[in-house]
Amino acid sequence: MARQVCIFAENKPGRPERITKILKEARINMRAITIATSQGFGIIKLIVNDPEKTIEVLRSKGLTAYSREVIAVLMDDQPGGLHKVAEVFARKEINVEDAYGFVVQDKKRAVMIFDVESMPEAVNILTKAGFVLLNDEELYSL
Amino acid sequence: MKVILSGNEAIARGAYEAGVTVATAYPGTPSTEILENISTYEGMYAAWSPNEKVALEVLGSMFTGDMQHLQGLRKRIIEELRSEILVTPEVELVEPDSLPRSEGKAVRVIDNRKQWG
Repeated sequence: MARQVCIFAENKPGRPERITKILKEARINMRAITIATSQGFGIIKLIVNDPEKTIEVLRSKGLTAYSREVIAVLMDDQPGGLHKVAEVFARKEINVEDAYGFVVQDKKRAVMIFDVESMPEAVNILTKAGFVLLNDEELYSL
Repeated sequence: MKVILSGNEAIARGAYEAGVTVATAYPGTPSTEILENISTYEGMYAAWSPNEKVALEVLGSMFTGDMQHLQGLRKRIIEELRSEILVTPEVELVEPDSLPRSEGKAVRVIDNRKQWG
């Protein structure tokens, strides 16, 4: 399974700057990023090349950060690629809490990050359905 | 005519006689009866101020990157506070160490609102 770095921030100007500065100075590279906000606060989710170091660095600067397990599914970068996965989720009634994707440089593949209610169950179902799930190293070496 | 009044009743009466027409307050012992009394006078408008703002620092141990969890936490705090203080507070989740530490001294508050009328 892959890991995602989650950062808590107030919904105020300057937060992304502060966080990205910390990452830049620690020479951390991002694969994907998504931000969700609600009621005056936000959660920034990152796929980075070194989640452990990222958490350490962020926490040392006083930020609230957490490393969360997610499923990274490899897909074909073509129409219908995501539908293949979504179809399995629908059929097996897997509820998705959060999801975001990014493409791979080779233009043949894409990755979708899923945060689901029941991780082990979803991993099992997806693996049985023939999907390739990426772990940390595989994800960052793309 | 002589009437015996409690301190709170006297304050309400004094406000009435001085021509006060609008009063707002946040409920709390020992002054809750002031506004309650004011509301019984003809021509006076009394309202509770429901805007008690509470900020909660999100500490590392609470945070698991789950949006629903934080939203639920905030709702629970609102509910628990409401049952204690009887008004609905506004609750904000803030970053650690962003709340000023109380020095235990009195704080000067300046009212910049425009005068009524």
